[in-house]
Amino acid sequence: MAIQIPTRLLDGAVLAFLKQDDLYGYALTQNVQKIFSISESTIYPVLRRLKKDNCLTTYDEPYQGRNRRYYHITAEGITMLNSIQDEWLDFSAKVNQVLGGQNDQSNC
Amino acid sequence: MTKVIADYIAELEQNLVDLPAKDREDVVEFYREFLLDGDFVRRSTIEAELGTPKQLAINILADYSTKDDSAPAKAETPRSNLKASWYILLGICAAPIGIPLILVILFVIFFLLAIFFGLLFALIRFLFNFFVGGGLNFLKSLSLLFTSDWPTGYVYLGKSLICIGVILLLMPFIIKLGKILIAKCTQIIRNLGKNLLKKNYFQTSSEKNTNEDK
Repeated sequence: MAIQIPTRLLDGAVLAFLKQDDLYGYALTQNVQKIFSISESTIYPVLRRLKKDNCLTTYDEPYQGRNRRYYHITAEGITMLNSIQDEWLDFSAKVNQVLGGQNDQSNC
Repeated sequence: MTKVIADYIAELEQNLVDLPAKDREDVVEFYREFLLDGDFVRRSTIEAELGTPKQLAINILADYSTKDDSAPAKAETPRSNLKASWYILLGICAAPIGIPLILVILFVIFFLLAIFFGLLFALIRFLFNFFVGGGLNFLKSLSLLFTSDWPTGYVYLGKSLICIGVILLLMPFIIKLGKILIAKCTQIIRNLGKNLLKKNYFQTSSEKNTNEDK
């Protein structure tokens, strides 16, 4: 893909997945990768930043004799998600004006 | 845990010794889990996903180094600044950006280094001259002091003491200047790294203003 994924949208995607359900690192990476073609090492910095900004918390759950770290979205994280969604709607509407082919709206 | 994963994680850990212990534990644990949950069996598949332990470590360290707020526990020292600069440079080299951009960056870095070392050498030369001058005068004065020429000896002794005194007075400023130079260069490289490693994202107009205020 020639368009690079902005960190802001990655943050948003991660928060959006976590809003549906608490996830552990690998599952979360898989989910994000289904949408964006990002490398595996991209997710950890995102999680670290979001955690530092109090957008998510972590807790450990035992799994097959080891721990799995789950990520859970906080109220602040949901606020953050909402603002990213607003920014995205605004931005995508503008991009659509230019690149979206206004002639056939049904296609959207 | 299979041996392949254990080996990979151990190597990763070795390459992250410069991170604070807590951060290192967290990031290593994340990748350990990642590899276990992904059921990776072969080293080659791990490296296809994450890169070699060294590459992954460079990515991680570059990410930590570009954050202004990453290490509140550790004070900024010239040494840590130089280290951070180095990781950012490595990170930039590892980042998938175009060759023209790399050339520009190399030029910027080259000029920064040139300025830095130019100033450093000028300083060292200046000090060296002063020191040698002071030292020679001191020796001269010693040889003359106990002869009939003793007044001349005292003049030289005085000169040498002045030189040494001036150097001692200037020393703290010189050291400070060196530290400031390193800190400034690091700041520039940090900003460079932040702009290159973090992709620009769309900002609403209100947000742009608050960001510029910072």
